[in-house]
Amino acid sequence: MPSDNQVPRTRASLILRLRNHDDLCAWRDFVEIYQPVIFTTARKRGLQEADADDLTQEVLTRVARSIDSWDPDPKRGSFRGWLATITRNLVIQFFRETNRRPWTGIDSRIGVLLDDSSNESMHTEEFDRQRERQLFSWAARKVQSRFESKTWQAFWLTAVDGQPVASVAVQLDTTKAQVYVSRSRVMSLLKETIELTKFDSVIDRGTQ
Amino acid sequence: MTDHNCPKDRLPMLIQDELSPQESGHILAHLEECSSCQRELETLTADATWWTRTTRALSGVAVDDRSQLPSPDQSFCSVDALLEGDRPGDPPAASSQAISALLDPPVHPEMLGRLDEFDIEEMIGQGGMGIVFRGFDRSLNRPVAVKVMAPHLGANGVARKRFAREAEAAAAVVHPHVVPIYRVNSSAKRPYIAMALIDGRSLQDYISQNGPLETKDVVRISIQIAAGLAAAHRQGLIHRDIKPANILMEKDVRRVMITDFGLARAIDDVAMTQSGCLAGTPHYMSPEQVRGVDIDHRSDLFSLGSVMYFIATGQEPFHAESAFAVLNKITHDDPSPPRSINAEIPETLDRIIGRLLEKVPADRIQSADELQHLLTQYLAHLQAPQRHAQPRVKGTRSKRINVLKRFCWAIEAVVFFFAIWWTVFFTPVSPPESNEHKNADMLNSREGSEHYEPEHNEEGGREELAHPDSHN
Repeated sequence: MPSDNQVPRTRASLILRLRNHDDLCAWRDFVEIYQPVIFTTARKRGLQEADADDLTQEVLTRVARSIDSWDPDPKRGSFRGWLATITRNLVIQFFRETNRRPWTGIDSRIGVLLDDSSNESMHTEEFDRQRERQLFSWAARKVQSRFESKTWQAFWLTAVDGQPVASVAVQLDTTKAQVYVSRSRVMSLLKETIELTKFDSVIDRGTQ
Repeated sequence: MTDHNCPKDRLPMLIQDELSPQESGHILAHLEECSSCQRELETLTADATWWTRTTRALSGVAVDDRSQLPSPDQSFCSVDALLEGDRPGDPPAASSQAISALLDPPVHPEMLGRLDEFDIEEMIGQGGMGIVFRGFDRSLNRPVAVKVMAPHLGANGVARKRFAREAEAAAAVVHPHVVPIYRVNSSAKRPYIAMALIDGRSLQDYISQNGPLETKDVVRISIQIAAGLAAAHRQGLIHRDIKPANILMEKDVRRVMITDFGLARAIDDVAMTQSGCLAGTPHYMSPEQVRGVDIDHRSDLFSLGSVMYFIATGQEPFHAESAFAVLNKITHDDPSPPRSINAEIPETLDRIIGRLLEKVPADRIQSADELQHLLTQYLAHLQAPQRHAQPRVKGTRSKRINVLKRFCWAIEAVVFFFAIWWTVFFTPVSPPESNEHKNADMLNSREGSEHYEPEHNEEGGREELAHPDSHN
């Protein structure tokens, strides 16, 4: 269950917006966040850069093609779970296909990929880790320009770098209270930005 | 600190910056000492999971306040194929720091900055080539659109020279249907062009919102584009990137203007050699552009054909899931005839579009002038069919070949049936007059068989009588 005061029923709305292929803002957000997620996941599974690129394009193409038929009902799984599965299947397919070619020499790797039953959860974990990273850095990029440098630093040094508020206050030549308020303001907007994407169905938050 | 003194109900407003300076100063003083309020502030902002997620997700991401966070990998190229007509793979929104680095400080606090004689008011767009600002030309007292080349492209000397060359060529085209260019600056620091600010939207946006246009409007707009192209072609300038997003439609008035002559593609070429991938939408490229061979003005005519197809049907002629598939279709497939998508499109318009979308440039309508002339004649016919004859337009090459093929089949079929007829009726074992006898014989024999029928029936009757016995 979502622990904050969000209204769950609005959660899937960005996916619904993606169904409108002309909603470029929705698509832009989607691609900005998920393109690096898919790309990095594919790279971590051992694909070359160019292959990972192709694979990323293929995943996004499939999303564009089948978003209309995607069921936003959380009982049937989350959107990001769906994406992770598409990515995983394509990675396996990639190795299967290249394995037929004698010169690649990655037979051992495909064995691991296809046989290891724990692989699916490993893949999903990796995908989720990448997604979380991209989602937050995407939101941070959007939010950063809206704040003065000092406000931003107060947030970054305490919330991300984990430095004590008191020392950051000294460093930035300001008061502790100001540091607290600054980082709350940034955090508030960061959270709002992430929640506004609403890429994920209700079920997503429960697992965070 | 005691709890009842804590101004906890004011904390949400403090976060939202909605308090008066006095009150916020007061609360800040309290917050400085009160650890309970410090915790409260944190919880109010976001629960603990948010804070830990933030730490986990962002730690290790290098950042300082002067530069942006590292942008996500930009190698994803053909997203346009997914996202029809725009460039969503573009870099994320430029930060205010990045923008102010491009501009001189403003003379007026409400302005964003200054660029030579232009006051920059706001950013109105961002694309693969750079940032577009709305500005104001102080000396000439008119609004302008200023396109500043993206710094990473500006750093490339070849790109900059090409940019300048194309822009200067484009500036020389003066025509009511071409967006006028006021100034070209190819300095190393921030190359830019200033052009007229068109109050309106692109054909792409218009069609996306309103659907395909009526035939008369399609023809009228196409005449204007053809006229603008003809003016540029006369000066030896090829646009290279005719697409609905580059045709601007003025508000209210049904006048369109072509923008970005030669520019987008000049930039794309550089972007492509740098990253090995194609920016921009591939839907309107000509087959010769796809193949990367030399192009001439007839490439623009192909693209214009695609634009006409799009505004008449609401669909791109070559539509596929990925950019690669689109390019493949452009070079190999014949598009479905516009009439098959929108039955209201008359045969003549269908043919004109088909003649522009010929794969081989020599098969196309040969010049923008010729097209403009043809369309003007056609518009006159559409407006007053009694007074103006319909222009005659040849079908496409493949259509003509089809017609020829069908004609051949028809002849073959006729010959074949004639041959059969001949074999059946004119394989005379007997002379022609015996034919009647033969027919008469057949008639007789049938009559004869009828004569025998009662007998058969009697037999059958007998059999029938026999059956019940056998069954019993």
